[in-house]
Amino acid sequence: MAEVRCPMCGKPNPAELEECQFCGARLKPLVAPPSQEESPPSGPEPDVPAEPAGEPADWLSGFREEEEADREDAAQPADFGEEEPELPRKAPPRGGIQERLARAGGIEPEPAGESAPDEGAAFDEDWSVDERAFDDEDLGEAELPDWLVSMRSGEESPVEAEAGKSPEEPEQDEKSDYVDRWSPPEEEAEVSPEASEIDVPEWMQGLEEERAESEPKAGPGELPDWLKQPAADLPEPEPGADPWSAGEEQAERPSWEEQTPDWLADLSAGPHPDDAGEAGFSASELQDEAEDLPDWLDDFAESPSEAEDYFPPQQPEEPEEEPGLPLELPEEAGEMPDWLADIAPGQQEVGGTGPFEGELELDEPEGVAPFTAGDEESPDWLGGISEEDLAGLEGGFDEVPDWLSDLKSRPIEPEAGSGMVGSPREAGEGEGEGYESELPGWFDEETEAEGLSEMEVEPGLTPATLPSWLEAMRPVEDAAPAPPIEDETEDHVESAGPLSGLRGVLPAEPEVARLRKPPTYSSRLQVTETQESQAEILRNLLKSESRSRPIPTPPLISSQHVLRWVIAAVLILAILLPLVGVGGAAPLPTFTSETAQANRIIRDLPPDSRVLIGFDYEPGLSGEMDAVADAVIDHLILRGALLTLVSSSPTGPVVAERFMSTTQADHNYTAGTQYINLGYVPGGRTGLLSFAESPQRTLPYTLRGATAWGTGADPALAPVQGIDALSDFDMLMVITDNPDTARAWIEQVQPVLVADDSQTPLVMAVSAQAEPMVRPYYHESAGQVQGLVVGLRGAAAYSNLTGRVNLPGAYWGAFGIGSAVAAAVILVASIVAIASSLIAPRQKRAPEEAA
Amino acid sequence: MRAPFSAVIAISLGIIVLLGYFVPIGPLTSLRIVLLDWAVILAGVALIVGVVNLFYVHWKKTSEGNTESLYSGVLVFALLITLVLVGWFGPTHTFSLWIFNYIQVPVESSLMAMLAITLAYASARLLRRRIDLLSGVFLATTLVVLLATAPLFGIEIPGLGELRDWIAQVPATAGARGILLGVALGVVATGLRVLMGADRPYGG
Repeated sequence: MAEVRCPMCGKPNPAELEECQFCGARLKPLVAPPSQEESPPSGPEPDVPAEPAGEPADWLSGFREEEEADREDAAQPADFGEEEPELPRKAPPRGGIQERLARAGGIEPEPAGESAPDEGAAFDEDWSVDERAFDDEDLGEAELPDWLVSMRSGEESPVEAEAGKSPEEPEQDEKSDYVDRWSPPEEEAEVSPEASEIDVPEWMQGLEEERAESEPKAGPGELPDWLKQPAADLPEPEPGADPWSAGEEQAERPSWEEQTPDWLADLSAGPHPDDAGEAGFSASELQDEAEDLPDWLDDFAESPSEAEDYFPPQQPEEPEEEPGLPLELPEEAGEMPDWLADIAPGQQEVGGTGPFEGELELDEPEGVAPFTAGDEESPDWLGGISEEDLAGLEGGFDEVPDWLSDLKSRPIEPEAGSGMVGSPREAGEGEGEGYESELPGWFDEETEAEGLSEMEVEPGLTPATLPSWLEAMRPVEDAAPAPPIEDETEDHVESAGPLSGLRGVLPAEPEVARLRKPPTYSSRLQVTETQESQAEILRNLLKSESRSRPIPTPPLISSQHVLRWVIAAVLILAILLPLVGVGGAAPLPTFTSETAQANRIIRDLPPDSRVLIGFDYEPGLSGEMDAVADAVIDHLILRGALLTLVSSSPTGPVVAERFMSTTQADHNYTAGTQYINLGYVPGGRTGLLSFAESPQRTLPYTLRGATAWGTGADPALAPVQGIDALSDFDMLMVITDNPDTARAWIEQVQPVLVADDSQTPLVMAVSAQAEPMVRPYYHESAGQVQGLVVGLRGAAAYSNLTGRVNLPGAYWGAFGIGSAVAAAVILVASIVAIASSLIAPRQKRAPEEAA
Repeated sequence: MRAPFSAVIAISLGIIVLLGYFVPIGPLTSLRIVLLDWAVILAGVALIVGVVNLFYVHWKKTSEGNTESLYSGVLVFALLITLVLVGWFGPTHTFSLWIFNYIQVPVESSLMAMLAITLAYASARLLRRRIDLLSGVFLATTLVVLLATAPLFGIEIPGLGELRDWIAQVPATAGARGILLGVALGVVATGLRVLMGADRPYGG
């Protein structure tokens, strides 16, 4: 190798240079040789500092750089141009093998469409070159990554630890079986090295050589001593020495390891018997794993013709000549462990790319058929792969089948004995959790998606108690509390346009702008039977409300009419009885104090006294008020008083004239001489106040039109002669049936009656209904009203005092009978009502009680 | 513009009349009397206006020709006849008194008589409508007053007269005094409101 291609810029550089002469990138990795101190400790916590996220680990970087350099060297004989050395980093035309391998080497894959048509061949050459380049000697101990060193030092991977715990079979037997499987037959061991070099892949040759060397140490059916030793008791490897590729073995297989890529080197390192022994593999476990054939192998067994199509054997007769290949053990294929099954896909990946086409004896039907023995025990994931992905192999070897693509993604599956014990992933796990950030992206994806899940569902295995340092090496998904879940529900995958196929693209057309037929909802209201019945009730109620109720026609003669007429007839008859001489002579009542006071005031009037009389009762009450007024005025006339009549009611003056002309006709009082009628005082209370303040100005004329006051007054009007104010009158008598009128006289006129040295007495003759309102003003000495005659009873009592038989006496008998009958009617009706009210509830309750 | 003017007039006249009532000063008293005379004249005129309005309303009803027109026609006819007779002959003339004595007084007295029978009937059916304490008290009071006021065919029930007097003088007077006090306070408050312009029954 004269030149070394820069892993950064891709340009060739002399091999002697350590840094790229173009970009200054380091061409040789700065991987320190594993020393005794740097070897991974066997303790529980490997103290490896975590590197920053996003940057590959040193061992990965060195690994990549070395791989790039080897690829570049391998590409030189192909006579590619200046740009050709970059081809290995480009993705092959079909399939993700190159891509994944490039990712495994830390190289970014390029789009498949950019690859040249002959890149596949170049890639195949690269693979052969890589395989050669991936030699332990070439890498050197100084370039070995830590995880490889740890594996060589006997560090036990978690997968191996799990695989080594099988309670069903003795460990010794398993180990012996395992060694037996790896022990080639006698005739296989005699195969010439030329044939193996020609027909067998070199990495398989390496395996063969290893096995050949291991034969004298561990014969079939018995375990070697070193295998019996626990992994921890194994002697520490010498610094810089590979425990499973050091010494003479390493010298004997340079050609194989030179052609083996890195990942194949890892795979080839897996099935080493020493590893199994160091990792604690048992023969029985290996036997079980061999029986649990992968489905893809079963599929091969079921359809050998398809396998032939995919991997046409160039030398069909040579499988027997290659007994050293582990995957060419037809008889033992049914017992092939999973780790070996994983190796095979790895080989197929390589073989599918071209250079291994003639070397893959594995793909021959003869080599696959024995795997049918463990068909029913093969894992499901392999069965799925064989069914779905093998169909994609119809394209031949020019296309990388899908199942190979899937299998390529499994080189690091932690299958027991798969040879992945030294994979970068396991090494990374062994370095602690901080190493998770250094893992490549594809590594995590594949691990989470496939590898670990298979390991967990491995049937027949009992979870073991792992050491703490092994626990720390568990897969990422176990160490992490929960794998990150990518929410793809909201991601929109563009289906058209230049962004077709991209996820998470904002839709060009909003959801709301898309025209769609509006949903049709039923307009029929869903109601229950109860609601419908209630609605019907409400509907009927509203109809009845809007319907006018017919007014019931009252009967012409009802009980109320009868009762009303009966009461009226009784009362009328009772009143008429005295007229016919029945019960008319009723004794007059005894007088009361207020009646006696009124009588005393009138009696004390001087002769020809001037008395102002207010006639303020209505004609309708003249029946009662005429009797009351008759008793008092009769007494006044008897006393010879000059009367001045005035009224605050419009009908009062006429009532006064009628009274004087009818009831007092016997006295022959002459109007204008013995009495004058001043007429009506308008204005109610105001008029009374005005009349009280200035009677001359308020009522200057009499009812007959004569001037009542002043010098121009008729001298015959004696009642008002010398009267300047109301206080000049000897007495004021108010005859009224209205309490308000009585109050107006008392409140507006009575104060004027009080002079400096004298006071004109006020006597009230009121109806019975006005008594309650007038009586508060009455007091014998200090009240506004000095005398009071109330109603017919008062008038009758006053007549009883005066001894005059007049109108009150005439009414008294009829009044008494009428009042008594009215009281009797009310009393009887009340008793009947009470009795009926007491009987009716019993009649209503009777049917209820009977029921 | 009209509201403050009328308010000023009303308030000032009210204050003058009030002061003239309490302060016996000559000019103030004379002014107060003049104002009172004006009020009486205005009341008389208002009565005339009322009569004219009554005539006008019923005249219109008479011209409408419905069933109520007859009553309005009677009213208009009676008004015109009375106005003519009383206006022509005077209120104390025989014709005027005849109309009063033989038309107005019997009609109104008949109404009072019907009222007496109606009250008796209502009292008789009171307990049919409602039987409770107040109804019982009302009926008892009515019976006591009726029986104690009227002579029961010469039968004097001992204590009934005194009970009637006690009811008329104590409970009834007490209630009436309460009413009068309330009315007096209301009148004072109303007067003050009118004087202060807070209440303007004259409008504005």
